[in-house]
Amino acid sequence: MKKLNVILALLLSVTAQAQPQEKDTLAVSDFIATYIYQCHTLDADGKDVTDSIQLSLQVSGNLWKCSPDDKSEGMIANDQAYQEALMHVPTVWMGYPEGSITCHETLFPYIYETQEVRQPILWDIASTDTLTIEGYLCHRATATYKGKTWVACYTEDIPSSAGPWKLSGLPGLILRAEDREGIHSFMLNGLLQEQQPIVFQHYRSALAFNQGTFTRQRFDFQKMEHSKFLKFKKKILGNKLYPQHPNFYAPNALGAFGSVEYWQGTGGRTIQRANGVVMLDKAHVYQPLELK
Amino acid sequence: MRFILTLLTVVASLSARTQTTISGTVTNLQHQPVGDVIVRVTDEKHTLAFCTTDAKGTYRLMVKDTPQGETFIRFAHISYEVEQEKVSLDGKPQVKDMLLVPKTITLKEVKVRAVPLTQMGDTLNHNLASFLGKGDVSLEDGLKRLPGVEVAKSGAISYMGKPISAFNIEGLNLLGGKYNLATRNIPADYVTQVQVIRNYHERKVDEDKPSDAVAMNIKLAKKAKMKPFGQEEAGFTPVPSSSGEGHDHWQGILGLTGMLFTEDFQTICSGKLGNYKDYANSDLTDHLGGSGLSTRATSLFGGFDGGRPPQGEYLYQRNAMGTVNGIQKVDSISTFRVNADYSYHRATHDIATATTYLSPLPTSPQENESHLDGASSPSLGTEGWSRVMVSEQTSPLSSSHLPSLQVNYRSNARQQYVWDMLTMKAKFEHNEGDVHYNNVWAEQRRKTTSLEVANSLNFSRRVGGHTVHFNSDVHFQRTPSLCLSFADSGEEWSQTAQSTSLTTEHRTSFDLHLTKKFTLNLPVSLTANYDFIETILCAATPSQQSQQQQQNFIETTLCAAIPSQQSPQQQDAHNRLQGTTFIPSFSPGFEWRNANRRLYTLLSFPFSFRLMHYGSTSLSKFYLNPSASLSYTFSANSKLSASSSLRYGTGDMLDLLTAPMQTSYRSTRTASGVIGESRNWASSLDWKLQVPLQYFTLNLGASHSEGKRNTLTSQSVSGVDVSTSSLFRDTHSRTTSFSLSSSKNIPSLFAKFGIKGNYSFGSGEQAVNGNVIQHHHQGYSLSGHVGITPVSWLEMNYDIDYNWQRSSYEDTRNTVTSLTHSGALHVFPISSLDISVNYDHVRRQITTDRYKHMSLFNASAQYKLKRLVLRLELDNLLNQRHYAYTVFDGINTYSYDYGLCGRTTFIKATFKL
Repeated sequence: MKKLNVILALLLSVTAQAQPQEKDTLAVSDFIATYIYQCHTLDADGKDVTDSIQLSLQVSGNLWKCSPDDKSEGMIANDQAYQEALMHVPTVWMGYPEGSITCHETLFPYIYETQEVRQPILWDIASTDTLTIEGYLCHRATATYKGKTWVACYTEDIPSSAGPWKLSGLPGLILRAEDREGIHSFMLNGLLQEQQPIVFQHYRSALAFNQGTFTRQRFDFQKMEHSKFLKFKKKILGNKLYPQHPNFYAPNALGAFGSVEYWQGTGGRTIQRANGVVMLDKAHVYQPLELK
Repeated sequence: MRFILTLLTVVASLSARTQTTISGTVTNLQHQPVGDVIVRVTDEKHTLAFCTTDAKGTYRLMVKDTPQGETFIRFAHISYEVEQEKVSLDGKPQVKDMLLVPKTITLKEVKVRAVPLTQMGDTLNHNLASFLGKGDVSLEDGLKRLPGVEVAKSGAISYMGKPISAFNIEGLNLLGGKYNLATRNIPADYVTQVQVIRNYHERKVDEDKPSDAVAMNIKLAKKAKMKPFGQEEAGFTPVPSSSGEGHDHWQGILGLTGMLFTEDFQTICSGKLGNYKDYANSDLTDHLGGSGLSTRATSLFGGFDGGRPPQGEYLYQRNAMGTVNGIQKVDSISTFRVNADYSYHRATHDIATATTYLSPLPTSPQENESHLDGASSPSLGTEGWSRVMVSEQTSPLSSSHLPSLQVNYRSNARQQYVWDMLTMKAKFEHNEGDVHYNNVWAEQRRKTTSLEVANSLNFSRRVGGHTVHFNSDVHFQRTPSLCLSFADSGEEWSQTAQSTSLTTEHRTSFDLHLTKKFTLNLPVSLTANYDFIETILCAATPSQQSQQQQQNFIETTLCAAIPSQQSPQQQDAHNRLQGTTFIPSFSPGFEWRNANRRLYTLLSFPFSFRLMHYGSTSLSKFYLNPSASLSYTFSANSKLSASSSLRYGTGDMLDLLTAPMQTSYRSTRTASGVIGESRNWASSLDWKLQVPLQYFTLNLGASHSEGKRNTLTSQSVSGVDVSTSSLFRDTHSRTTSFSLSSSKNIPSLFAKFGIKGNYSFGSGEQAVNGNVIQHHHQGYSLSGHVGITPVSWLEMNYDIDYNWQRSSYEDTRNTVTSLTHSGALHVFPISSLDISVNYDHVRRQITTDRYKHMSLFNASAQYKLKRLVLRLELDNLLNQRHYAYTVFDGINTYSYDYGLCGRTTFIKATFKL
């Protein structure tokens, strides 16, 4: 019996370490567009800062995936700066499942999956207002989406209704988009006609029992209704304490998870990670992309 | 009412008529539905309506407008041929099915670019490749192109005019201040990112405190990580250079540098030697201080050097160096570092100087004769004064060996910081400075050995919400022997010195964070020093000696035992002093910041008690040195800082050396015998604007300082002999200055523009033969820089620098101006070949109505292969051999004429290992 317990303990321990994940290839991309996403916000000391991150948009017909690109130069997944930018923008699968939007977002200490019905964006097109971006003739269009007014530039030369984040539904690829307040912006930074698998990552809940106390009831991954998650995220990231103490709602990571990893980040800063998720020691003021 | 109803009915029927609904299904040749087809209804110019097909290939759109002219319905998909049909918008529902023919649309691809510059809070990430020019080889070449970054000729890096306080490679500080080793030896293409970290905190425990420090972090490409790399350099002069007699005509260099950068360990090892320019010497420059070794004795008796011209190669050097540097990560927060260096430096150059001293007119003919003896061309100046000019020619030769070892441990966590540095250094110098004046040769020799051992410990810990700091610095310096010997006009004499210093400073501080806005600092420190110094000036020997005998005397003196062992009969002037200094101090400071942390103020009131005891002289006094500083951060890019401080200082034992000390063949120095005291009030105002994403920086500054000392340096000139002593008299000085600097990059043009301006004025006092003269100075300088790449095969750089300086005393005014143009042109006939020419033109005022024009012209060709860089340098093509300029130092005027290195051809090969 004692031996059996030991074997079970080892098996469960291995299960917890492995963080089981499965990947599905949903489609193969027709082309890939990369965008620079910028968010103008404030740091913990109230100073203006611009968070920046590169996004990769893989497009295949009615389905596309827009995700932070952590492989590009200067984007280091364990970097504090990268993580600061990451809190504003999720990984989005548009049209998966059909007619829906699926998002993966990290909110320490979990990864959350949300789903919502894809609603059409009612764009107002200014056909006469043109400009050229990266050699493509673009038109301007305006729409209110999720409580914010967006001005987008799209090109009819690329016949796809895709765009960065959840912005879409124009008669051509969106090359640039900015919100009216000038807080968020997406700018095309590259375009490649390349076939790549569009992958969806399935997370599995993991249970470990030989680490910290928190792990006994934890799940690495949680599914949540989109509107509920939005409120939950606003409640945590929108809290005044958040910029100074980003982990105020889960303060004892070491006690909770049994171990904290350390990584070298920008300028020699040490980055801490628990449960595979970066723990920020300071954060920037959260600027939601969606108000409703 | 009926009328209104009729009208509404008509309007409704009209609007119903203008809305046309079009629907249908889009399929391919296999009759499979095609989703995500963009269906648009357009007139000749505008999109009237659009939608996309669903997964079943169906669509439905409504056109509200009825434009004049033809209208079309258009079906577009990235994998199919675009189809278009005429459509009439008559208000009736229409069904338009479409069959699409496969054909992949070829997109005009946009190459994914790394963004040249991103701002992440205080960190600016420069993608180095976005800024590099074709001819750039080393990391230093690339750094010069970054906005706001300046790299001085010495290799010192500054951002927005502020020198960087740390240079990290992948987050590790391997080299301390000797970062030339990295910037000049790491190839530019091995670096992906250069991060400029503003408001940098070296210690994490201080992260809550404001900081205006700047640090740089280098991120390496994958090919530079985990595996060793390096470079090999070799070069020679294919034809002998046109150097003067006694200089090396054949020149060469040889160097090998190896590096390894892993996640936990970094090392750079290098060995170099050469006699071409400053090769093998500049790599070990410590930009954070501490390159050399200066003790009490060596600071009193400096070497025979002669300064340097602002432009042109003038030194004939032989250099060698070897260095081993390593840093190991002990754990995620701790590092252990060792830096061991050895350098040899030998340099000589030619210089002619004409020094004009102000001297009182002699009162008797005899005095007049002796006064003018040896000095040339005295001329009458202000009433009661004459100007005495001394002309000299010299070729100082100095050589030094400098071994050093540094061992450092650092643990940097948010809760605790530990830093310890052990330093050991030695310097062995030999210096010759024979001077030719009035057809006479005066011989000067200097030989000295100095040692230094120092340890610095720094400890900080957060306790609850508060922080405790403890620093301990122990510094031991010794010059066991410093010997100077002189021979002039048949007379010989010598000056010897030795000194020992033990300096200890222990400081502890407790930061009480009373509220979120208010912090009380309570530092207490104790400085305890022991000093010993001895100087002996030996009498001149009989004048009837041959040159050989003079030489023997000099050599004997240089090899003599320490001065105290000489017999008293030989000693003309003897200083021997030892003593101690104790300075306990308490420096309460009050920090306050407002709720949004933009406004920060610091008031500090350091009290100190100084107890100095040297022989029969002692001083014990309380001092209060209050200071205030304020900063307001408008945004991450804009900051205003102001500070003001009042400081009382005291002299040291060097003020008590009342017996004459010979510092050169014609200069003696005597101290006042009174421990000097000074008071200095300094204030400054500084505004920085940095708009990194616009590549724009602007810095405006103003400063003012006023000082008072209780002693005044008095100069006496007799013939060519100059002696300085101190008068026990209050003396005042003041200086006000304003500065401006700005830089702007235009990445699309690969262009960088910069301007700088400076204006200052002030006054001071000097004494000549006991007579006090007040002098004033003012000056301004303007400089500009343009670097532009108008076409890919051409790169142009232009610098202009204008200086205006005026010095005045009583009714005498001296003004000098200089205007320098520097231009460089790089032509790239093929991308790997860089042909460049550099041109410097200087128009410099020598005297009131004399100007000197000088041009320097260099050319080079560089051919870059994958691993090999071949370079041909043609220096000083016009064979310009002199560089002359004048400076004013209060009441004295110094005119220098430097000999420049002649025309030189040099071939160099750098091979990446």
